[in-house]
Amino acid sequence: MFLVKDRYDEVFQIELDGWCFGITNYPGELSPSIIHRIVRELAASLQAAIEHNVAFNILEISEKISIATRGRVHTKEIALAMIGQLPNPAILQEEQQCVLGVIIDTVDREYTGALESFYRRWNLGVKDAA
Amino acid sequence: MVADNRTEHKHDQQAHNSAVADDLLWTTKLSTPSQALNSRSLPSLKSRIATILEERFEKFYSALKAQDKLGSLERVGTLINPEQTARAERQVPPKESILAGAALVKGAFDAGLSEAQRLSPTMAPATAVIESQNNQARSATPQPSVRRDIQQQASRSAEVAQQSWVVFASQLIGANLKRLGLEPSEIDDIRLQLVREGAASYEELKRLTRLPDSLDPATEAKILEDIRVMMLGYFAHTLQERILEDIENGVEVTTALAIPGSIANRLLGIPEIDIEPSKLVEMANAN
Repeated sequence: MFLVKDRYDEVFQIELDGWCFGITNYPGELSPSIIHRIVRELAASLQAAIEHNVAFNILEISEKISIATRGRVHTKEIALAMIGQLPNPAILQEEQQCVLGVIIDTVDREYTGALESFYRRWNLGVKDAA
Repeated sequence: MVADNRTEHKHDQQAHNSAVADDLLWTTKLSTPSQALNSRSLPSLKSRIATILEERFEKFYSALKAQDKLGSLERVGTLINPEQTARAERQVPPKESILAGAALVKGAFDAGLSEAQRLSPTMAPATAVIESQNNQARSATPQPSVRRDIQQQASRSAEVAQQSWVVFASQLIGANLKRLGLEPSEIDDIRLQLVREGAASYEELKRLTRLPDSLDPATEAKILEDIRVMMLGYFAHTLQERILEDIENGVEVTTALAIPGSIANRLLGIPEIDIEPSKLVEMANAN
Protein backbone atom coordinates (compact mmCIF):
# COMPACT_ATOMS: atom_id res chain seq x y z
CA MET A 1 0.00 0.00 0.00
CA PHE A 2 2.60 2.53 1.13
CA LEU A 3 6.30 1.97 0.63
CA VAL A 4 7.89 2.20 4.06
CA LYS A 5 11.10 4.21 4.12
CA ASP A 6 14.27 3.09 5.90
CA ARG A 7 12.62 0.09 7.59
CA TYR A 8 11.11 2.57 9.97
CA ASP A 9 8.20 0.25 10.73
CA GLU A 10 10.64 -2.10 12.51
CA VAL A 11 12.24 0.69 14.48
CA PHE A 12 8.87 2.19 15.38
CA GLN A 13 7.66 -1.19 16.56
CA ILE A 14 10.76 -1.64 18.73
CA GLU A 15 10.25 1.77 20.27
CA LEU A 16 6.62 1.01 21.11
CA ASP A 17 7.63 -2.36 22.54
CA GLY A 18 10.26 -0.50 24.57
CA TRP A 19 7.66 1.83 26.07
CA CYS A 20 5.42 -1.13 26.87
CA PHE A 21 8.42 -2.88 28.42
CA GLY A 22 9.10 0.16 30.59
CA ILE A 23 5.46 0.49 31.63
CA THR A 24 5.13 -3.20 32.42
CA ASN A 25 8.35 -3.38 34.38
CA TYR A 26 7.97 -0.17 36.33
CA PRO A 27 7.83 -1.36 39.94
CA GLY A 28 5.48 1.30 41.34
CA GLU A 29 1.94 2.39 40.72
CA LEU A 30 1.21 4.07 37.42
CA SER A 31 -1.47 6.70 37.12
CA PRO A 32 -3.36 7.55 33.93
CA SER A 33 -1.59 10.91 33.84
CA ILE A 34 1.77 9.13 33.45
CA ILE A 35 0.39 7.21 30.48
CA HIS A 36 -0.85 10.46 28.96
CA ARG A 37 2.63 11.92 29.36
CA ILE A 38 4.10 8.88 27.64
CA VAL A 39 1.63 9.33 24.79
CA ARG A 40 2.73 12.95 24.53
CA GLU A 41 6.33 11.70 24.37
CA LEU A 42 5.30 9.57 21.42
CA ALA A 43 4.27 12.62 19.35
CA ALA A 44 7.65 12.96 17.62
CA SER A 45 7.79 9.24 16.87
CA LEU A 46 4.25 9.24 15.47
CA GLN A 47 5.14 12.08 13.15
CA ALA A 48 8.36 10.34 12.11
CA ALA A 49 6.43 7.14 11.43
CA ILE A 50 3.97 8.97 9.19
CA GLU A 51 6.82 10.71 7.41
CA HIS A 52 8.30 7.27 6.72
CA ASN A 53 4.95 6.04 5.37
CA VAL A 54 4.21 3.75 8.30
CA ALA A 55 0.42 3.41 8.53
CA PHE A 56 0.37 2.16 12.09
CA ASN A 57 -2.77 0.94 13.77
CA ILE A 58 -3.56 3.18 16.74
CA LEU A 59 -6.11 0.70 18.10
CA GLU A 60 -3.53 -2.08 18.28
CA ILE A 61 -0.96 0.20 19.86
CA SER A 62 -3.48 1.50 22.38
CA GLU A 63 -4.54 -1.99 23.32
CA LYS A 64 -0.93 -3.01 23.81
CA ILE A 65 -0.25 -0.02 26.06
CA SER A 66 -3.50 -0.62 27.94
CA ILE A 67 -2.47 -4.21 28.62
CA ALA A 68 0.95 -2.96 29.77
CA THR A 69 -0.84 -0.74 32.30
CA ARG A 70 -2.75 -3.82 33.47
CA GLY A 71 -5.99 -2.26 32.33
CA ARG A 72 -5.54 0.85 34.45
CA VAL A 73 -6.06 3.03 31.38
CA HIS A 74 -8.69 2.09 28.83
CA THR A 75 -7.81 1.47 25.20
CA LYS A 76 -10.21 4.16 24.03
CA GLU A 77 -8.66 6.77 26.28
CA ILE A 78 -5.18 5.97 24.96
CA ALA A 79 -6.37 5.88 21.35
CA LEU A 80 -8.01 9.29 21.58
CA ALA A 81 -4.97 10.69 23.37
CA MET A 82 -2.79 9.41 20.53
CA ILE A 83 -5.08 11.01 17.98
CA GLY A 84 -4.39 14.28 19.75
CA GLN A 85 -0.66 13.80 19.20
CA LEU A 86 -0.85 13.24 15.44
CA PRO A 87 0.83 15.93 13.33
CA ASN A 88 -1.01 18.65 11.54
CA PRO A 89 -1.74 17.50 7.95
CA ALA A 90 -0.70 20.91 6.72
CA ILE A 91 2.95 20.12 7.39
CA LEU A 92 2.80 16.76 5.58
CA GLN A 93 3.24 15.90 1.94
CA GLU A 94 0.37 14.47 -0.08
CA GLU A 95 1.40 10.83 0.31
CA GLN A 96 1.90 11.23 4.03
CA GLN A 97 -1.47 12.90 4.34
CA CYS A 98 -2.94 9.71 2.87
CA VAL A 99 -1.07 7.69 5.49
CA LEU A 100 -2.48 9.95 8.16
CA GLY A 101 -5.97 9.52 6.68
CA VAL A 102 -5.68 5.73 6.90
CA ILE A 103 -4.50 5.96 10.53
CA ILE A 104 -7.37 8.21 11.59
CA ASP A 105 -9.93 6.26 9.60
CA THR A 106 -9.09 3.08 11.53
CA VAL A 107 -9.81 4.84 14.81
CA ASP A 108 -12.91 6.61 13.51
CA ARG A 109 -14.45 3.29 12.47
CA GLU A 110 -14.11 2.06 16.04
CA TYR A 111 -14.76 5.28 17.89
CA THR A 112 -17.00 7.59 15.90
CA GLY A 113 -16.03 11.21 16.27
CA ALA A 114 -12.28 10.73 16.20
CA LEU A 115 -12.01 12.30 12.77
CA GLU A 116 -14.18 15.24 13.78
CA SER A 117 -12.13 15.75 16.90
CA PHE A 118 -8.96 15.69 14.85
CA TYR A 119 -10.28 18.25 12.36
CA ARG A 120 -11.39 20.51 15.16
CA ARG A 121 -7.94 20.40 16.68
CA TRP A 122 -6.37 20.93 13.28
CA ASN A 123 -8.53 23.99 12.59
CA LEU A 124 -7.63 25.39 15.98
CA GLY A 125 -3.98 24.85 15.14
CA VAL A 126 -4.39 26.68 11.83
CA LYS A 127 -6.10 29.57 13.61
CA ASP A 128 -3.34 29.73 16.20
CA ALA A 129 -0.70 29.76 13.49
CA ALA A 130 -2.53 32.55 11.69
CA MET B 1 27.32 -19.45 89.35
CA VAL B 2 25.60 -19.84 86.03
CA ALA B 3 22.31 -20.34 87.83
CA ASP B 4 22.92 -17.15 89.86
CA ASN B 5 23.59 -15.23 86.68
CA ARG B 6 20.41 -16.59 85.16
CA THR B 7 18.41 -15.61 88.24
CA GLU B 8 19.94 -12.15 88.18
CA HIS B 9 19.22 -11.80 84.50
CA LYS B 10 15.66 -12.96 85.09
CA HIS B 11 15.21 -10.38 87.83
CA ASP B 12 16.64 -7.68 85.59
CA GLN B 13 14.32 -8.72 82.83
CA GLN B 14 11.33 -8.70 85.17
CA ALA B 15 12.28 -5.26 86.42
CA HIS B 16 12.63 -4.05 82.88
CA ASN B 17 9.31 -5.58 81.89
CA SER B 18 7.71 -3.93 84.87
CA ALA B 19 9.16 -0.59 83.80
CA VAL B 20 7.79 -1.11 80.32
CA ALA B 21 4.41 -2.05 81.77
CA ASP B 22 4.48 1.15 83.80
CA ASP B 23 5.24 3.05 80.68
CA LEU B 24 2.23 1.48 79.10
CA LEU B 25 0.06 3.01 81.76
CA TRP B 26 0.01 6.33 80.07
CA THR B 27 -3.57 6.94 81.07
CA THR B 28 -2.68 7.03 84.73
CA LYS B 29 -1.01 10.31 83.94
CA LEU B 30 -4.42 11.67 83.10
CA SER B 31 -6.04 10.36 86.23
CA THR B 32 -5.18 13.28 88.48
CA PRO B 33 -8.29 15.50 88.62
CA SER B 34 -6.29 18.65 89.34
CA GLN B 35 -4.62 18.41 85.98
CA ALA B 36 -7.93 18.07 84.23
CA LEU B 37 -9.38 21.10 85.93
CA ASN B 38 -6.66 23.31 84.51
CA SER B 39 -7.57 22.54 80.95
CA ARG B 40 -11.27 22.60 80.46
CA SER B 41 -11.18 24.33 77.12
CA LEU B 42 -11.50 21.89 74.28
CA PRO B 43 -8.51 22.85 72.12
CA SER B 44 -6.18 22.77 75.08
CA LEU B 45 -7.61 19.50 76.28
CA LYS B 46 -7.37 17.88 72.91
CA SER B 47 -3.87 19.11 72.44
CA ARG B 48 -2.90 17.80 75.83
CA ILE B 49 -4.43 14.40 75.23
CA ALA B 50 -2.80 14.17 71.85
CA THR B 51 0.58 15.11 73.24
CA ILE B 52 0.40 12.69 76.12
CA LEU B 53 -0.76 9.90 73.88
CA GLU B 54 1.99 10.58 71.43
CA GLU B 55 4.67 10.84 74.04
CA ARG B 56 3.58 7.76 75.96
CA PHE B 57 3.24 5.65 72.88
CA GLU B 58 6.57 6.79 71.57
CA LYS B 59 8.21 5.85 74.84
CA PHE B 60 6.87 2.36 75.18
CA TYR B 61 7.21 1.80 71.48
CA SER B 62 10.93 2.48 71.80
CA ALA B 63 11.06 0.21 74.83
CA LEU B 64 9.37 -2.54 72.88
CA LYS B 65 11.77 -2.10 70.05
CA ALA B 66 14.70 -2.28 72.44
CA GLN B 67 13.38 -5.54 73.83
CA ASP B 68 12.52 -6.86 70.42
CA LYS B 69 9.06 -7.59 71.70
CA LEU B 70 7.29 -5.73 69.03
CA GLY B 71 7.56 -8.72 66.77
CA SER B 72 7.24 -8.76 63.07
CA LEU B 73 4.55 -7.02 61.12
CA GLU B 74 3.14 -10.44 60.38
CA ARG B 75 2.42 -10.99 64.03
CA VAL B 76 0.63 -7.69 64.31
CA GLY B 77 -1.09 -8.51 61.06
CA THR B 78 -2.47 -11.72 62.51
CA LEU B 79 -4.32 -9.67 65.06
CA ILE B 80 -6.30 -8.06 62.31
CA ASN B 81 -7.66 -11.43 61.26
CA PRO B 82 -10.41 -12.44 63.71
CA GLU B 83 -9.65 -16.18 63.60
CA GLN B 84 -5.96 -15.63 64.05
CA THR B 85 -6.68 -13.06 66.72
CA ALA B 86 -8.62 -15.61 68.73
CA ARG B 87 -5.77 -18.08 68.30
CA ALA B 88 -3.20 -15.47 69.23
CA GLU B 89 -5.11 -14.53 72.36
CA ARG B 90 -5.11 -18.14 73.47
CA GLN B 91 -1.42 -18.62 72.85
CA VAL B 92 0.11 -15.25 73.58
CA PRO B 93 0.52 -14.19 77.24
CA PRO B 94 -1.51 -11.17 78.36
CA LYS B 95 1.43 -8.80 78.26
CA GLU B 96 2.23 -9.81 74.72
CA SER B 97 -1.35 -9.08 73.77
CA ILE B 98 -1.06 -5.69 75.36
CA LEU B 99 2.14 -4.94 73.53
CA ALA B 100 0.86 -6.11 70.19
CA GLY B 101 -2.40 -4.26 70.64
CA ALA B 102 -0.58 -1.16 71.74
CA ALA B 103 1.61 -1.33 68.66
CA LEU B 104 -1.52 -1.31 66.53
CA VAL B 105 -2.85 1.66 68.41
CA LYS B 106 0.46 3.41 68.03
CA GLY B 107 0.43 2.99 64.27
CA ALA B 108 -3.18 4.03 63.98
CA PHE B 109 -2.73 6.99 66.21
CA ASP B 110 0.45 8.14 64.54
CA ALA B 111 -1.33 8.26 61.22
CA GLY B 112 -4.42 9.90 62.57
CA LEU B 113 -2.65 12.35 64.79
CA SER B 114 -0.20 13.60 62.23
CA GLU B 115 -2.98 14.09 59.73
CA ALA B 116 -5.22 15.75 62.28
CA GLN B 117 -2.40 18.05 63.35
CA ARG B 118 -1.78 18.99 59.77
CA LEU B 119 -5.39 19.76 59.08
CA SER B 120 -6.53 21.21 62.36
CA PRO B 121 -4.70 24.02 64.14
CA THR B 122 -6.44 23.03 67.37
CA MET B 123 -4.42 19.82 67.42
CA ALA B 124 -1.17 21.76 67.40
CA PRO B 125 1.93 20.36 69.12
CA ALA B 126 2.37 20.69 72.86
CA THR B 127 2.85 24.03 74.48
CA ALA B 128 5.06 24.73 77.45
CA VAL B 129 2.05 24.47 79.74
CA ILE B 130 1.25 21.02 78.48
CA GLU B 131 4.86 20.00 78.84
CA SER B 132 4.83 21.15 82.44
CA GLN B 133 1.61 19.24 83.07
CA ASN B 134 3.16 16.17 81.58
CA ASN B 135 6.18 16.51 83.80
CA GLN B 136 3.88 16.66 86.82
CA ALA B 137 1.99 13.69 85.50
CA ARG B 138 5.13 11.62 85.27
CA SER B 139 5.57 11.80 89.00
CA ALA B 140 2.05 10.45 89.61
CA THR B 141 1.88 7.00 91.16
CA PRO B 142 0.01 4.40 89.11
CA GLN B 143 -3.12 3.14 90.84
CA PRO B 144 -3.71 -0.63 90.77
CA SER B 145 -7.35 -0.32 89.69
CA VAL B 146 -6.43 1.97 86.84
CA ARG B 147 -3.62 -0.34 85.88
CA ARG B 148 -6.06 -3.25 85.63
CA ASP B 149 -8.44 -1.19 83.56
CA ILE B 150 -5.77 -0.13 81.17
CA GLN B 151 -4.44 -3.63 80.80
CA GLN B 152 -7.91 -4.91 80.01
CA GLN B 153 -8.46 -2.04 77.67
CA ALA B 154 -5.21 -2.68 75.85
CA SER B 155 -5.85 -6.39 75.61
CA ARG B 156 -9.16 -5.61 73.96
CA SER B 157 -7.35 -3.47 71.42
CA ALA B 158 -6.65 -6.53 69.33
CA GLU B 159 -10.35 -7.18 69.01
CA VAL B 160 -11.16 -3.68 67.97
CA ALA B 161 -8.19 -3.46 65.64
CA GLN B 162 -10.47 -4.42 62.81
CA GLN B 163 -12.33 -1.18 63.27
CA SER B 164 -11.09 2.02 61.74
CA TRP B 165 -8.59 4.01 63.71
CA VAL B 166 -11.09 6.84 63.96
CA VAL B 167 -13.55 4.77 65.95
CA PHE B 168 -10.88 3.14 68.04
CA ALA B 169 -9.12 6.38 68.88
CA SER B 170 -12.48 7.81 69.87
CA GLN B 171 -13.12 4.93 72.25
CA LEU B 172 -9.66 5.19 73.71
CA ILE B 173 -9.86 8.92 74.25
CA GLY B 174 -13.42 8.70 75.55
CA ALA B 175 -12.36 6.18 78.18
CA ASN B 176 -9.60 8.47 79.34
CA LEU B 177 -11.77 11.53 79.42
CA LYS B 178 -13.78 9.87 82.18
CA ARG B 179 -10.68 9.82 84.29
CA LEU B 180 -10.32 13.55 83.82
CA GLY B 181 -13.53 14.04 85.74
CA LEU B 182 -15.50 15.46 82.84
CA GLU B 183 -19.27 15.20 82.64
CA PRO B 184 -20.68 12.50 80.31
CA SER B 185 -22.26 15.16 78.11
CA GLU B 186 -18.91 16.92 77.76
CA ILE B 187 -17.24 13.63 76.96
CA ASP B 188 -19.82 12.91 74.29
CA ASP B 189 -19.32 16.35 72.79
CA ILE B 190 -15.57 15.98 72.70
CA ARG B 191 -15.78 12.48 71.36
CA LEU B 192 -18.22 13.51 68.66
CA GLN B 193 -16.02 16.38 67.62
CA LEU B 194 -12.95 14.16 67.58
CA VAL B 195 -14.73 11.58 65.49
CA ARG B 196 -15.92 14.26 63.10
CA GLU B 197 -12.45 15.70 62.80
CA GLY B 198 -10.96 12.26 62.48
CA ALA B 199 -13.43 11.24 59.82
CA ALA B 200 -12.85 14.47 57.93
CA SER B 201 -9.11 13.92 58.18
CA TYR B 202 -9.51 10.39 56.98
CA GLU B 203 -11.58 11.53 54.01
CA GLU B 204 -9.03 14.21 53.29
CA LEU B 205 -6.24 11.66 53.52
CA LYS B 206 -8.06 9.36 51.13
CA ARG B 207 -8.60 12.24 48.75
CA LEU B 208 -4.97 13.27 48.94
CA THR B 209 -3.62 9.79 48.43
CA ARG B 210 -5.89 8.93 45.53
CA LEU B 211 -4.01 8.44 42.32
CA PRO B 212 -3.23 10.43 40.29
CA ASP B 213 -4.00 13.47 42.40
CA SER B 214 -1.32 12.57 44.88
CA LEU B 215 1.37 12.67 42.24
CA ASP B 216 3.19 15.93 42.06
CA PRO B 217 4.88 16.98 38.82
CA ALA B 218 8.34 16.12 40.12
CA THR B 219 7.29 12.58 41.00
CA GLU B 220 5.62 12.17 37.65
CA ALA B 221 8.73 13.38 35.88
CA LYS B 222 10.86 10.91 37.83
CA ILE B 223 8.53 8.02 36.97
CA LEU B 224 8.50 9.06 33.32
CA GLU B 225 12.29 9.25 33.32
CA ASP B 226 12.55 5.74 34.81
CA ILE B 227 10.22 4.33 32.17
CA ARG B 228 12.06 6.22 29.44
CA VAL B 229 15.39 4.75 30.57
CA MET B 230 13.89 1.26 30.45
CA MET B 231 12.51 2.01 26.99
CA LEU B 232 15.89 3.23 25.74
CA GLY B 233 17.62 0.17 27.20
CA TYR B 234 15.09 -2.10 25.53
CA PHE B 235 15.42 -0.19 22.28
CA ALA B 236 19.23 -0.34 22.19
CA HIS B 237 19.31 -4.02 23.12
CA THR B 238 16.61 -5.12 20.66
CA LEU B 239 18.02 -3.07 17.83
CA GLN B 240 21.45 -4.58 18.39
CA GLU B 241 19.93 -8.07 18.44
CA ARG B 242 18.07 -7.33 15.22
CA ILE B 243 21.23 -6.14 13.45
CA LEU B 244 23.25 -9.15 14.67
CA GLU B 245 20.43 -11.44 13.53
CA ASP B 246 20.53 -9.89 10.07
CA ILE B 247 24.30 -10.35 9.89
CA GLU B 248 24.09 -13.98 11.05
CA ASN B 249 21.36 -14.75 8.52
CA GLY B 250 23.44 -13.22 5.77
CA VAL B 251 20.85 -10.58 5.04
CA GLU B 252 22.39 -8.04 2.77
CA VAL B 253 21.76 -4.71 4.34
CA THR B 254 21.04 -2.31 1.58
CA THR B 255 19.05 0.22 3.55
CA ALA B 256 20.16 1.81 6.75
CA LEU B 257 17.91 1.53 9.77
CA ALA B 258 16.50 4.91 10.63
CA ILE B 259 16.81 5.75 14.28
CA PRO B 260 14.04 8.11 15.28
CA GLY B 261 15.27 11.55 16.12
CA SER B 262 13.28 11.45 19.34
CA ILE B 263 15.41 8.54 20.51
CA ALA B 264 18.71 9.65 19.03
CA ASN B 265 18.36 13.02 20.73
CA ARG B 266 17.87 11.37 24.09
CA LEU B 267 20.94 9.22 23.62
CA LEU B 268 22.99 12.22 22.54
CA GLY B 269 22.85 13.69 26.02
CA ILE B 270 24.71 10.77 27.60
CA PRO B 271 28.29 11.84 28.36
CA GLU B 272 31.23 9.70 27.33
CA ILE B 273 33.39 8.15 30.00
CA ASP B 274 37.12 7.68 29.51
CA ILE B 275 38.25 4.34 30.85
CA GLU B 276 41.75 2.96 30.55
CA PRO B 277 41.83 -0.48 28.85
CA SER B 278 43.68 -2.00 31.81
CA LYS B 279 40.92 -0.84 34.17
CA LEU B 280 38.32 -2.22 31.82
CA VAL B 281 39.99 -5.63 32.02
CA GLU B 282 40.09 -5.35 35.79
CA MET B 283 36.40 -4.51 35.88
CA ALA B 284 35.60 -7.42 33.61
CA ASN B 285 37.62 -9.81 35.78
CA ALA B 286 35.98 -8.48 38.90
CA ASN B 287 32.54 -9.30 37.49
